[in-house]
Amino acid sequence: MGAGTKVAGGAGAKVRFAAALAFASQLIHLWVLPGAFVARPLTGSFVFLAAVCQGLLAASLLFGPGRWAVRFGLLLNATIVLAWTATRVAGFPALFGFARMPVEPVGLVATVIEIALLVLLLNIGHGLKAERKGRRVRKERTA
Amino acid sequence: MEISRRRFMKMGLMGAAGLALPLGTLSIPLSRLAASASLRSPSVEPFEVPLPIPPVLKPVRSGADTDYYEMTQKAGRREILPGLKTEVWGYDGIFPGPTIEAWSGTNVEIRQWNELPVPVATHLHGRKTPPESDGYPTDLILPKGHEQGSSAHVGHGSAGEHVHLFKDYRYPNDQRAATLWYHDHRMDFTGPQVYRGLAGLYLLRDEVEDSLPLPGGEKEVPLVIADRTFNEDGSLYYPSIDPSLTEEPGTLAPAINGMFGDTILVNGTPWPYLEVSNTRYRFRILNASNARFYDLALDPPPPGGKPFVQIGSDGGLLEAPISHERILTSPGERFDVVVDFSRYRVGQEVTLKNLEGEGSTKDVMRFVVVRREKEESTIPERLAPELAFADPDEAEAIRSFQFIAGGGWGGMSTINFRVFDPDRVDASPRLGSTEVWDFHSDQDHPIHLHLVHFKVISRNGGRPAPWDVGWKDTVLMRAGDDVRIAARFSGHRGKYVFHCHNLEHEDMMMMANFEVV
Repeated sequence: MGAGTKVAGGAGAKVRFAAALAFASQLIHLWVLPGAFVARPLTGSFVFLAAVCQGLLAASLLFGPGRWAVRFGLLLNATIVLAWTATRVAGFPALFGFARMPVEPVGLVATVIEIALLVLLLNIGHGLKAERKGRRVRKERTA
Repeated sequence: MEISRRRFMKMGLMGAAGLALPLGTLSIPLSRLAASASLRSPSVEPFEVPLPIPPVLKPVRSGADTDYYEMTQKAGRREILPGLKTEVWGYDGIFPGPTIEAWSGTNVEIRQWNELPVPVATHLHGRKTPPESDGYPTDLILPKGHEQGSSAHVGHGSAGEHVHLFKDYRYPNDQRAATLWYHDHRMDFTGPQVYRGLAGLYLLRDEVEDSLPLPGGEKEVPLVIADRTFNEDGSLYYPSIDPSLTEEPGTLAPAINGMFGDTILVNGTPWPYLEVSNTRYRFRILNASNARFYDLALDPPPPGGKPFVQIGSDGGLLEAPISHERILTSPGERFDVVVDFSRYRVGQEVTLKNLEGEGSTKDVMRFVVVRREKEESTIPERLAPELAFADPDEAEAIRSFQFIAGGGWGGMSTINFRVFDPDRVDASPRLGSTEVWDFHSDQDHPIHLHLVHFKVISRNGGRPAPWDVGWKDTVLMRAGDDVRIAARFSGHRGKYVFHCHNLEHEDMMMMANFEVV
């Protein structure tokens, strides 16, 4: 994370909310992990990795995220949402060994959280970009 | 290098949330999988308990052309392992369930009561049964407490036909004598429910068979072979994700390609013995295991010839007897064999071995030749009139089905890369027509067709194997096998299933519909 790209000031509330969402997503993934892993280790491994990454993202967000943290969060949550949606729309029995999965309430809640997180991260990312641009302009003017 | 308090807190939180918490949670399923893998049944001294014979059920009444029976599917407790009580779910609370002896030409109607806490469906394996009595996986008898219409199975489209508490299954016994068996066939949960004990024999007899001088009476012995694993307290162990069998189907990942027990039961008793005289005995062998194949042989082999004379297969008597060194059998198959103990000396012990077994599963049971007796049976050179097999040259369609098991990391098993869907029909043969079906297997699969009997035409491009003889309803397939069968779709119109009879594969969706039109 480059110096001078940290979130500060008024964006703090947004970032804390994003961290809370990431934690919530992590807790849901941890909740389903035991059942998923004993039945389908491949799916379980994905759930485990998602939980690990959401935990790292949440901790990182709490301590002033840089642009790489935001990018990581965007990629992570987009992947999780896409994977969840794809496995509820189509089955991949030949490739991954499972049929189309049911839309379970806990998965739906997690997906809503992750979509909200994506929107927040995009917003935070734009804020970071604007802040960087502002600093560069100020620096050029000072020079 | 100095670490600021903020950075220290960040690293600590990342470590806790990102690693410690997930790893701690992961230890729950890992320890469950490890416990499952390391479980061993309490040890049992083999050949200490005599072979029990399942009781024959008497009809509650008989009409002009129909015998009426009643059975209650319920829990029962019995001593399977010495000194321990085991709860089984059985027909009339016993495992194996009571044997039904029916005569060809006399219809049978069985009222099946469900006093178990789960839905059930009963399939009479090998019978040409009308679709409404065939035990279609979603045609359920709901237990007390389940609302009429409640599906109790998830995510499979059509809800099926549901009845409450009991169902009358009607079997028009218009087929030849054969060793059949009945067992549970509930969608998603057939494996655990059969494993808990929902299986029994149905012997169909006719005048052709009755006129033969084959061993009979006490010398006609059913051998229902099944493998099970027991917990330390004597309870049956099955690696269900949901042991209540009410919500989530499936097994723990290691059992996804079959539940293999470490204790071999014959007629519900571990490694029993049977005292025999030095005469011929007829054994009706049923492989009632969920997934285990057996390569049966006698140890020591008898002098002067092969030990097993096969007289019948899934669909009844062969035209002529065939001798075998070994009997290779997959789940669901039946072998009707005669063993001549006159080739052993009195006092000799003969062990029925499973040459595919390892450790405790190498032995099946023991015969002890205890007395001399006059031989009163023979094995005729001709057992039955010529069998009118389906002629593959008359086939109206040739279909190909590939059986692909789910990976060891978990996943569904498929036929032609498609999982079972009750609403999808994969073949629609015309009533009375002959079809040729090609089966390809990626690993060991016993393939069973409901309604029809078939003839194995070829195996891997060559002749059928010695164990493929006669009318079959279940065919053994090894990994990589290509088997071609010819079947005549006669008897009844309607929707039936065909599936892998490795019950864990079946529950993991290796099943499909055909509809006779």
